[in-house]
Amino acid sequence: MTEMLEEKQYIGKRIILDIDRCINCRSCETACFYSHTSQKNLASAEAMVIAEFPYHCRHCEEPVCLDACPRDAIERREDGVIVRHKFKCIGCGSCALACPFGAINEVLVRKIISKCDLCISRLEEGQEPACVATCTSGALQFVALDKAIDSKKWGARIIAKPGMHRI
Amino acid sequence: MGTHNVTCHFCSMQDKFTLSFADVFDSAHFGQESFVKSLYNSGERRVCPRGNFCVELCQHKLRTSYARIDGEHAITDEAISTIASRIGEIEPSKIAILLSGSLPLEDAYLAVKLAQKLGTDLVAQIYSEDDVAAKFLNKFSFDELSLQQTIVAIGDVFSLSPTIARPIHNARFAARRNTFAVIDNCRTRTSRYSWSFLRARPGKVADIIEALAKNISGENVSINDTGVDASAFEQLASIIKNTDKGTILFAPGVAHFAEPLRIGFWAKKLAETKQFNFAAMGTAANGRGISRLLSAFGFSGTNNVLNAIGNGEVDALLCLGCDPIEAYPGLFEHIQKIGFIAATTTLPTAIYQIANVVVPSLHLFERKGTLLSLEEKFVSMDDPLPSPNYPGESGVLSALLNNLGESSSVSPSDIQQKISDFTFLVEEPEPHTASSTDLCAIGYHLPHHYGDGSLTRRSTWVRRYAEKSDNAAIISSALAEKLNVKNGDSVTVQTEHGKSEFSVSIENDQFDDVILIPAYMPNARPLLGWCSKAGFVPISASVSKV
Repeated sequence: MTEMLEEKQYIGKRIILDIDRCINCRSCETACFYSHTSQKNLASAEAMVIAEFPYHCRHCEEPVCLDACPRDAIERREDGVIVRHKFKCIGCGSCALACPFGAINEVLVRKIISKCDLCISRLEEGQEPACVATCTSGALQFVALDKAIDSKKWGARIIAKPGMHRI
Repeated sequence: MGTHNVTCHFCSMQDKFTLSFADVFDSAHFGQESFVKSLYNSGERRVCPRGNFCVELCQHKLRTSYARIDGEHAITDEAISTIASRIGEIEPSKIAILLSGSLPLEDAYLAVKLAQKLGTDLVAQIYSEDDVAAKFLNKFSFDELSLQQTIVAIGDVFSLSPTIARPIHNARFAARRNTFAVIDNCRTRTSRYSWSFLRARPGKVADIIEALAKNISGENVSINDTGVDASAFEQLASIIKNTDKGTILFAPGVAHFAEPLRIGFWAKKLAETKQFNFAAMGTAANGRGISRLLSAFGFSGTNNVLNAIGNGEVDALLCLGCDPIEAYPGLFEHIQKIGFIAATTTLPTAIYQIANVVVPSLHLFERKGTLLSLEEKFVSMDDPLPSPNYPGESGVLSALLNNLGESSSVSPSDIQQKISDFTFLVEEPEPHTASSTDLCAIGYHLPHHYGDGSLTRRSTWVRRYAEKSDNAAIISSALAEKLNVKNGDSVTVQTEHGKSEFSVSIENDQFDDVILIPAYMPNARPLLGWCSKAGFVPISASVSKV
């Protein structure tokens, strides 16, 4: 099994992508799909038509998707994880439009929108998110945000480069 | 309930991962919730997309769960006794047995015993590329891979076995001068991560590896007609000369190389000269092991069985865990004419539709048994996922043997002894003169497909998210401009064996003299070339806009 996280050790941690390692094998997508009742919560992005890579929710400090939701289906938990409540979601797509990173899938599955929840149930069991646990190349890592920023590997910095867009 | 450390059904990495049962009735779930979950791996090798499909494969809604006789549900015992009685009526030399490469060695041994008892020579494992990989003795260690100074990949190793990417990246980034080099005839997923890429023209990869091996030994060989840049060649030769710890990985692939045996021969020579590690990677989890076992017993290989089918010399075909129609769609008409077909299957693939008798089978992660690993070790699978009470191949073969009065006991030490009798390739295969063509069709793979794609194409994820983009022909931007096509447009690819339609996928850095077609699609495989010793090979092609 993957490395176990101690209780609440996940707080303040985020998924980062090391683009130099990602081979676009899509194992993160399949892991996400099979661990979320056949719903893919990961988006994909493309860099200058050369590389494709997974595209995660940043779980922002001030999430605009939460403000945009007309049905209060999106909630920021105490531990900082932004989750979407399936039964409240009406699939209006407001959150997808509002997200500044384009990290919420616009494609509806069963009339609800899909969004990365950091595999909160796995985190609470002390495991890493499914996409990180399955990553074949070591490109996806689950690390403390401050540490990630220090090492200049935060996904947002990569995404911010010109020529990259969501697909 | 409980957790099980199982072996992945797909590819020669034989990755282990943990599957656990989750009780769905304890939670409030809506929709299709898996009751088997993957807890993934620890350490360097994780789980590729195909490994993730294993969670679904064991509980697939289309999974074969009943035996069938002539299209009607039947009791399993009745189906097996029907197989026994029908093959008893057929001339032994006209009975053929095809084995999946994802079977344990014990099952292959039972197939050998059955063939010997019946008196047929027509026994083979399904993928001819595994016959190629089996011919080279590996000297390889997973633990050492991330400690290498130089890794040379021949072919698209990342697409064949994505889980090897992590140790390779670890080696790449471990020290400033470490090198990851790729030798290939086209751009692939692997070549994009290389720091040194030797691109030879299609049909010339063996020549460039021969030249490299001879250069390392101090001999000078001309590389003029290979299409390789001389300075890049010299640079890689110099890197290899100055490396103490290196590994050469060879992935033959499907229709990727014109002379895979010669490539393997010279790659092995190069590794021996420099005392590097070497691994020839097969397609199936145990394809190399089964190929060696069958060869050691004197069976002549996949090509002979396929020839016999094509020449109408087979009256009964036993398909154990494999689907020759999906693997060799060009043989469909000949297979259809075979008088009696029995198949063990896990999903309703093409052979399921026409087989006279079908028996439900097991996946590799539901079996016990022994596999031959890339490290040339015999690995035992001790902790399989509890499976439905299906007989699988061992059940069918044991029953058939018992019916013939033969014991179905298997001794693992006998199998290992027999495999050690296998004769490896020691002499260089005859060079094949490739005729130069304007455009060459080469087979490519994707990480979420395995072999002929018969299992992976039926996974829910592929059907929902990848099906549309999977039937793609990859071309360069210059060729796309010449054809006046853009991404997603349809083109017809034509070879001497036929033509088929694909959607276009343009790669800016792809070479203009190649068109890559998907080797996991049943419409692409019949177009490819065939070589009696190496299976599918690249072929001259033309392409036009639809």
